[in-house]
Amino acid sequence: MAFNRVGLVAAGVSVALHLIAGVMLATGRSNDRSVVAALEVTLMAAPILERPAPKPVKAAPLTPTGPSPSKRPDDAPRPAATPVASSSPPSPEPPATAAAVPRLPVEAAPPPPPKAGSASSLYAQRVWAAVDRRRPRAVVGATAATVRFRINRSGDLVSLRLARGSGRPDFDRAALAAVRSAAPFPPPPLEAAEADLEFEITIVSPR
Amino acid sequence: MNRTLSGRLALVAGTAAVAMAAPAFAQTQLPPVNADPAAASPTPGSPETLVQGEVIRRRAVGGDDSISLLIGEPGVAVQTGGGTTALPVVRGMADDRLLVTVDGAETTAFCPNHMNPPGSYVLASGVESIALSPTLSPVSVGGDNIGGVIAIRTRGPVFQEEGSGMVVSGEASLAWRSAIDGGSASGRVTASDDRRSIAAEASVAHGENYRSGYDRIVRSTEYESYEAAVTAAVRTDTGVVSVRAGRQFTPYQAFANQRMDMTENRSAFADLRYQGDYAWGSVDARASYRDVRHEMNFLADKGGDMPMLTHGVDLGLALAATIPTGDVGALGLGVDVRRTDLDDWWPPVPGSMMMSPNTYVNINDGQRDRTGVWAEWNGRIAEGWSLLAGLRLERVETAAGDVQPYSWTGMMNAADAAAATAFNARKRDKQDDVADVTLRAFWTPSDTLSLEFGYARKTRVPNLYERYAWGRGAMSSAMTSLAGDANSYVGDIDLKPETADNLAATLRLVDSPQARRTLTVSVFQSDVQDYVDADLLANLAGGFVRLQFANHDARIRGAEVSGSTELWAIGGSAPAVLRGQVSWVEGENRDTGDNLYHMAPITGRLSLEQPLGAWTLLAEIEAVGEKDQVSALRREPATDAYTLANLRATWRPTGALRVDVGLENAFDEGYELPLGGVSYGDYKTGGSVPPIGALPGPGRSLNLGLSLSF
Repeated sequence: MAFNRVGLVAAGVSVALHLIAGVMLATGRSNDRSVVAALEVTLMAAPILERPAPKPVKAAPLTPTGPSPSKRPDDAPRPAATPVASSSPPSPEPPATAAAVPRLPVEAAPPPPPKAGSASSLYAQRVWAAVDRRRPRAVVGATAATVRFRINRSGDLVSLRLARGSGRPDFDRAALAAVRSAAPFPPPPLEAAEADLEFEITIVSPR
Repeated sequence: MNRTLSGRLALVAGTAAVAMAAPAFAQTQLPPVNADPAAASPTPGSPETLVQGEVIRRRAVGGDDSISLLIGEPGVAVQTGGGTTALPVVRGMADDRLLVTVDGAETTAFCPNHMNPPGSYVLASGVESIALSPTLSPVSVGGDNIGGVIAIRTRGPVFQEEGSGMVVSGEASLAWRSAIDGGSASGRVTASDDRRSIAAEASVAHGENYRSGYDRIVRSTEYESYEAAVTAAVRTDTGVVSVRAGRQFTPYQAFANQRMDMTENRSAFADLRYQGDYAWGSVDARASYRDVRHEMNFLADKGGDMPMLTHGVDLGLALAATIPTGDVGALGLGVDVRRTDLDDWWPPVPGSMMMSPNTYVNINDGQRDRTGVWAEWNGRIAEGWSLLAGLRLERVETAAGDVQPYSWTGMMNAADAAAATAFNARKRDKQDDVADVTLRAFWTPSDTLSLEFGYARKTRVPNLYERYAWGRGAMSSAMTSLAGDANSYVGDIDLKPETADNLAATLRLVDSPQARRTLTVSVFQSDVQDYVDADLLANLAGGFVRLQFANHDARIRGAEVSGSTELWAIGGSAPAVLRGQVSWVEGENRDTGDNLYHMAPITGRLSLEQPLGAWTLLAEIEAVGEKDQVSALRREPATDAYTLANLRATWRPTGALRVDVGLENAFDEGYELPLGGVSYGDYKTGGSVPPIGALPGPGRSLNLGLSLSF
């Protein structure tokens, strides 16, 4: 089953990257910029690759058509990577625009083994890049808006909603518009599973 | 076999469990995207000027009028009204030639002296941002204007991050200014979680007659105003529904350049809005309502008694949708409907020969109804090129019922009686079908250079006073006066819509994407067909004139240059910034060769802003040229050149506390306001001895501001 292989490879890569990051952190040179960069890279790569791993059983009562899972505070326990990832964006302050670039998993990470799993993760990178190209203006007072969206086999946007608001409706709308205007996305790879067609992205308003 | 089967079943069951759990959560988590912190060069359709944040806060300490928060932006001037009721002037076009919206809602200036313009319904302390789109404004932001759109936004609903529960936050601010021995107080409390938000706010502004740099009190400049509003909003996964309702009460507001004063203005409003976002596009639906009861009479400086009452109602509905068009842009479609009802009447004054025995009916059941549809596309057309193209079609219908003078038979009312008879005999319904077009091209060959140019055809149908003010008596015609010149005006039912052909180009240069040094140059020209100017009916005593609104062809042109450069940085603070700008405009009635009224003289500004830890220091020089191009027809006073120095400091020791100290007009320069109109309050208290002078501006003022948030 492609799904399982993808999951295994993803989990393997994630564990490997975490190990590398852990070792580097354990050397105690956490002030070193390269370590920070490597850590960031890890965090970015992980969420993409780690999709199959996360979900606690609590999720079960939620049906796909049910209320937004985001309403539940206990939805928060996501894979270890996510909390850290969400703490990393505020840090790159001075050249905030440039900060996005090193995050690109392809560019900075030790490239994951080019096996079966990488097709959908590469595709995810393309989706990310398409949204990043349309990144909205920052809004004073806003924090971060998380948008959940689904695309079909042609790359068209079929659903779009706000999973977590930024506190400022203006910024929420700008985040939604960024994803909407990034569509249509390139057609996903043939082997992409249904779950590979649903994405969640957080747009961070600096400061 | 059995083992295999049970194993398979277990696998299926397990898979099923995963499958059941998965759909809600199994989305791919993408890395975060950082929003763009830089106020980069405008994108197609974005307003050319957006004043918000720190700049708004600082300017609000200096005055209570919301429109005046735009002072300091290229191409902007204000026509003096009361303390909270200035009229905007953008690229030489004032008042109704600009559309002013508050949170998207349109409001009519119902008063025959335009003492209650749309901007007067929000005090400066309640403004979150002001967006200005001059002359080439997109049709999507509104019709019924030829000079541009000013969109004022109040603090909208605020939500919390998920999981933070219900949070109560608030803000209180105080401002005091020595020149008016007054200021404002405002407060706001919000209770919100991630889905619901409710906010209540209230503010008050008060000022005494101000003191000019000539060290004397300028009569008829006092004011007081109160506002309160409640905003409630609910956020769903697909949008935000919000309701905002409130009241405004102005017990008095003197007008230095009008014969009358505002002795009461009561307004209630409600706005209902839904902004939704879907995969196919976004929608913005809005219903707005405002009721205004307005009264003019004389305050103490002018003396006397002559009540004039106005009742107006605005009802607006608007629906807009934006749909992405492939990868290149977005199509906007919209429809809006607006219905305006206006009554203006002047009760008889017992014992007055002239103002009795009837109620003078100035506008009876006046109606101005607009229906508009628009379509607009903006997007990329080639590498480095984008385009905004819009078309708006509107039908505007105006009407007014029968009128009556104070007396049909009295000798002193003969002119009005004859005019009323003629007016009532006329067919007064008018229907105008107009089309607005905006075409703007943006060329960005590099990160450091952009050029924007375009054409817009804009139309404005005359307002109800311009068409239906009918009185021709000495007193009655003096009561309709929109320009602050204390002249008398008579309407013309046959007045045609004014149609502007606007051309403008803007070149923007920055040294780098971080915009450490910027230079922006704009040039514009507006050819207005049937510009609503005026013709002379009679010369009156005291150097005043009686005019009738009349269509003429006019041309307005000008240029704006602005730039900024970062200088040194002290310690870890942000760098000091030097900013400068020059605005120039001229306008001519091409039929008569006369200058248009209220063209601002050349104006320049130079400011140095120095952040220093928790402090921000700002020094500004404002230099205004001599105003010698004046409207001869309206006996517009010329004004001398002057230079003002302003010093401002802001101290923000924490995010919750903010202290502002300012010294405006630090050298106490005596000067006259180029767009201040005539100094009628001083003229009246001085015994009405001609000639009437221009209105002096405020002298030195020590301004203090305190703002606390929690």
